[in-house]
Amino acid sequence: MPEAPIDPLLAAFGAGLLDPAATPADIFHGPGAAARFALYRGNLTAHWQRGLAGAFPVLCQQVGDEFFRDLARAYGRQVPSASGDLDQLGAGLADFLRDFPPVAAYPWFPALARLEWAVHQAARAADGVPVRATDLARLGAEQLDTLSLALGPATALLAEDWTVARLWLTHQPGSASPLAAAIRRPSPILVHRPRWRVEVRPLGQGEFAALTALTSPAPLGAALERGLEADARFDPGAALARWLTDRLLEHPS
Amino acid sequence: MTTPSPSCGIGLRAPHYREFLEHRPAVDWLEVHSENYFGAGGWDLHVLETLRPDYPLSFHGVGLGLGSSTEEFLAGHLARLKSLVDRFQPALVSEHLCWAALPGRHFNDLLPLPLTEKALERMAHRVDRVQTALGRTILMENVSTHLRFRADQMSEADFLAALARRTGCGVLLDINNLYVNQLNHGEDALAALSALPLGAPAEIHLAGHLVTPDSVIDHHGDRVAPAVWQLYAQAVARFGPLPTLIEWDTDIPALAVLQDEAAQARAIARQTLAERKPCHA
Repeated sequence: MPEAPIDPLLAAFGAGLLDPAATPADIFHGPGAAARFALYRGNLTAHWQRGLAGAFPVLCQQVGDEFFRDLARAYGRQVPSASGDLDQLGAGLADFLRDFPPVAAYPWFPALARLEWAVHQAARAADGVPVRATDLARLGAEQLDTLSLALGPATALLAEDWTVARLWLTHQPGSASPLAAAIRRPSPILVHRPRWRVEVRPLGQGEFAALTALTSPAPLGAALERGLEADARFDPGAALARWLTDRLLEHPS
Repeated sequence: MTTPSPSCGIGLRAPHYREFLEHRPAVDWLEVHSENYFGAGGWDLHVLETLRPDYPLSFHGVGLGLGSSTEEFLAGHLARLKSLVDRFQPALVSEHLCWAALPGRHFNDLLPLPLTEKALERMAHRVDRVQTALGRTILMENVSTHLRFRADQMSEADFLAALARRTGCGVLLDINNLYVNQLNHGEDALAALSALPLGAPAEIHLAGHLVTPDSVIDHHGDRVAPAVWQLYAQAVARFGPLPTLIEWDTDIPALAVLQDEAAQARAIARQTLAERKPCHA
């Protein structure tokens, strides 16, 4: 038997996975090939749905399983998966949602997707070596002022225009009543992982400005200064104490 | 004197983490999906690191897709796998006899390969590449499929036997997949066992399947079927007591159910080996 090249067969298979009209039934044995091929198409949607539901559980709760499946199928067809690791599938979902007409009535979805993606990334980020309060206690006021610090690897700062952190928090287990919608309002958000569980916290403008400055990178004193400039109610001492308790800070690498 | 029996492992899945951490339940070894531990840190890796002193580990990959039309996703995936394998030094590392990607797109599934000489050449080349990168042999698993290509030139078992001969890789023999393919394609599962050389299989997988009108689906969501237990006994009779895994991925039950399935595998193997005539050179 002559050697058949295999890549045209795989290309035909792939085309049929993305478009039912392109089902390549004639390259397979058996009269039931089309029906059986549809099982692979269904699996593909199920994988997309599972991969995205793992990273975007709140979005999934907001739209319901059936809508989420259709969303996953539309996303999977339009944005090719670029990794054999299904956990990477949702990297482009926030951008996709911005231009996906069926969710036009839910303008906070891209912001929610960015938040959930940051949570998903934080869960898998390196464990980090947080600065402890006792490390700083040894330093004098001037040393503290000029100290360079960084945020740990499992940390993200988001500046969203919708109150998606509040929305996210009300969708966590144990929360009494999930909010149905976010409100349009400047919403600085901190995503971080003190140990194993990822935490989401809406920030005030002062704390957001201070943490952003710290990553710019500015020394601690200047960063806290920036916090006060952004919001006169910002309390540098309380903020620093909380960052240390939350294991947020690291020595720059 | 006791008859040798295989060590029977189960797949470690997140719903059972807590029980493993708190009680270290009696399980001979644990298999994980490699990709679930591809992160740089976090809870999953912490759990695995914590359990590692108490259980031998096996890393079972689902994302390399070694028969794919492209290698563009291979280097990155292999680098993650290598760092995981270097860190944990698992007893076994395995992947599937399948393809998964076309240029520009990964399908994240175990798709059926045309069983041709060309596919065998490609697969052998890539298995070599993986084994060289990891510095160890891997096991390649037979898969269940809904379809067979008209272009096929050999059986899957013959393909695997040739692959093992060319690359020195081992075979991960999935008994349920053999049985599913027997139902789906009229292939003879016993003939498949005979086609594999003694010494090639180094691990066995057992799982449940689902019979539907169009096809039998290898869904890993039920107890092992009676016919699959029978075939398992035949495999043990031919290949001896191999490490055996109970796989369960959909509607994951209580850990006790998995332990019960593992105990059944152990009992069947022990009985099979006791009945087998001693064979000394």
